[in-house]
Amino acid sequence: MFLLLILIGLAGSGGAAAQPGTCAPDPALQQEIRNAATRQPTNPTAFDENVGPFLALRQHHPDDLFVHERYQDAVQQFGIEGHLRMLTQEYQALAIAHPSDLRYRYLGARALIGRSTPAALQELNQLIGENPEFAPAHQSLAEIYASEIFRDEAKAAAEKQEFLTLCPGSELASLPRPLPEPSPLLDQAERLLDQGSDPNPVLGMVLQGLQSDEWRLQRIRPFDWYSTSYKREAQQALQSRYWQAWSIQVRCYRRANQLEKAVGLLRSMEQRAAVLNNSDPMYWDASAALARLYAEANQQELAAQKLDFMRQFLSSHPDNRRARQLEELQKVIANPAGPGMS
Amino acid sequence: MKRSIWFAATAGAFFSVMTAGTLQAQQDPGPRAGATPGIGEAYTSLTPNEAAFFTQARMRFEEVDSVSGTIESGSGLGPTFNGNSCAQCHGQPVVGGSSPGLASPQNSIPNPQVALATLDNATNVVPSFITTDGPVREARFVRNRDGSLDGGVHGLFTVAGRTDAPGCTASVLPQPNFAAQLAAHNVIFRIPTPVFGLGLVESTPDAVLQASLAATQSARSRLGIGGSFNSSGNDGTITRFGWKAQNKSLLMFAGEAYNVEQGVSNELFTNERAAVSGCVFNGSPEDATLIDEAPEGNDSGDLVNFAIFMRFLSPPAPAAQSNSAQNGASRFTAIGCALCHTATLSTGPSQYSPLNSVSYHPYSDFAIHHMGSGLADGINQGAAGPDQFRTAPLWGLGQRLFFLHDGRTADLLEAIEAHSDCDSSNGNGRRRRDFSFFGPFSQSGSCRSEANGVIRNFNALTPDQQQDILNFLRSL
Repeated sequence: MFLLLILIGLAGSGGAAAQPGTCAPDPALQQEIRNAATRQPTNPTAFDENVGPFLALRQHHPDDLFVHERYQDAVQQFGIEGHLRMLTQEYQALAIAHPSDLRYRYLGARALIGRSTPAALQELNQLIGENPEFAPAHQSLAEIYASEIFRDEAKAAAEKQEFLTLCPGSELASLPRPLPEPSPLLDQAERLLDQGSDPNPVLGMVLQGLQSDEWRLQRIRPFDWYSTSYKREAQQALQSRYWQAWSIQVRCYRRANQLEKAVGLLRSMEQRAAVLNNSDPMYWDASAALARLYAEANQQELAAQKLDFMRQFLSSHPDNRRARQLEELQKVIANPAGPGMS
Repeated sequence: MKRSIWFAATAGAFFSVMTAGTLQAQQDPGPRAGATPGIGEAYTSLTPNEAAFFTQARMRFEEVDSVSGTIESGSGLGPTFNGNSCAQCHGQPVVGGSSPGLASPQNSIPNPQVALATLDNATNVVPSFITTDGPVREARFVRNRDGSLDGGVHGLFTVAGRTDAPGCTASVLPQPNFAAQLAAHNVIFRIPTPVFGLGLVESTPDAVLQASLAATQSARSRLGIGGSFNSSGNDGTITRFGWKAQNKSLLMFAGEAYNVEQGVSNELFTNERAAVSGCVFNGSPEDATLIDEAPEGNDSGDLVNFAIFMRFLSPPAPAAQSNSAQNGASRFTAIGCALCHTATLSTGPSQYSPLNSVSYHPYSDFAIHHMGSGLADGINQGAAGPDQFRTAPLWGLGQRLFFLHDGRTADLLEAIEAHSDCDSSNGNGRRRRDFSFFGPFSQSGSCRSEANGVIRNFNALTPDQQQDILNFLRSL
């Protein structure tokens, strides 16, 4: 029985063994990596602050594969286009500088994941074709093939099997990593304004909300994890948020009696609306925002004109959600003393 | 004795009064009011498809850019920039023109660069040479810190602080220190050139330009005027767009401006400028052929659209000329202005009918000339050296607000006088304005400008004759 177990054990290993030091970092280093990862980002846009611990770790362990991987992960998690471009360039240069070191060739390919994933797939497949026992490449391939956009279940299963055979007990990451949620700050700011709050902190919230949402978009745009239509929808959603933000800002300025600023911003909103195509979804958002602002300022004629634009848009683009929005807006405008017209 | 003194003093006073009176007689009538028929419009002889393309192209020319297309529909602004749309700077008297301004009879607006500095929460400081009532400008540095030649455009503004540039701060991407550069006399300026009628210029064969220049060689020599062409270092053909005729084609002109002025990388200039890693938000090129989507059937990138807009934009038509202006036209030729400001050129065969073998009136030879130390900006562009400039085309001048490459004056008479680097007076005893702020290489009385002879001729005219020339120029 004991002999049988030994035989099964040998068969299970299939004769395959990962290259030394390619399955997991040694325990001490693992602890250092954990320490670096425990710092929770307070500001997702503070790239240097968020990536700093991993950069420091890489400076202490300049030749360690896992440290490089975690650094790359941090750049991928917190970086935007410019950071990603630098990451790619840096690791391509390292691969060229270390032509006989498989790790740097792998890291060069890994730096492309998410931004030029087809190129990464090609390089990683070539790499395992020549070095089938290089476990990290199987791991990366398994993760990519399991992702939604590059899904290939058979290949994902095969690569996972290869990886776990070489590195039993290891784990695979899920790609892409979760996106930050859209900021709640704009909606909160609007509610606070309706409740009669001090407009100054509300203005700050608006700005912070916009910047968070812009950052979120920047976490979507460069990555090929997301489809073109998803990217376009995310961008349109943010454009819509700008109209909401400008509307809140005008109301804040009015509340704070900064009428010159209110008029200036309203004028620039009008200018922006004027160049929108009347079939653009933004045309709807712009008209809705302006209708409300004009109604609040008792400029009923202008408000009515914007409502007409919205009706025309709705007749050519029937949509239940927009129909309800128009109905609610008409009620609010007809009853200026009610909530939301302060 | 007393009587003689009295007589001399009285005569002197009388002469002064007379001189002052005549000096007041000649003055720039100012930008012409009213609309110029057809200006800003396409040629009426375009085919329906060409006309439709032009309409779309004009929309692209007018499109406003934000960093990633969230605030405005266009995207790619920055990291550094001078403007956020083509039309913002090319706006006088209509879209396609030169710098807008408060003095415009057609569209009186303050310099849009002032508001642009802090648009959408940006944290830029407005440099001292950008003023509400001044022209739109770009800035170039003459030399690098190590003393080597620079000559490139340094964006006035950065996207730092903008809501659509999260994480990009002024500490990561600071504005250039323009105050220090000004103190070191290391910064020069350029204003936008109008783009009306440029399809005609593009369609003019090199041979026509060369023959035109050769035809006036002896007359030019007599007045000390030289002239040569800037050319492409690759194919050797004449380049003709830009203040120093540094750009070969409208496409190249558009590509460079898009990257330099708005910070939009494109298919000709593929790399982002000032690409500080936390301030780069878009993949490059930011503007490209629309492979995945073709809005309204036009899948060309912005560059092709800009070039088409300029190519199909008709030239400015001159106004009806008064008797004085007609006299001025003759005088303009007689004193030698027309030796460089060539009135008529002709295009070669073109696939576009409005541009096909036609004569046109740019009032330029499109050659480059040494303009002396007063105008020298120290910048080399191709074969054009530090004091060489392309003869500025004068068509449309009647409605322009600012003159010379740096927009140093809004007064046409001052602009004419600035062509000479020889005298400190205008020949009628009036002291010239000090433009040393603009001319870091000014050397009083160095007399190297090719225009010195012509300006001497101009100064020898009577005030009425000079006024005729001013009236003629404002009729263009």
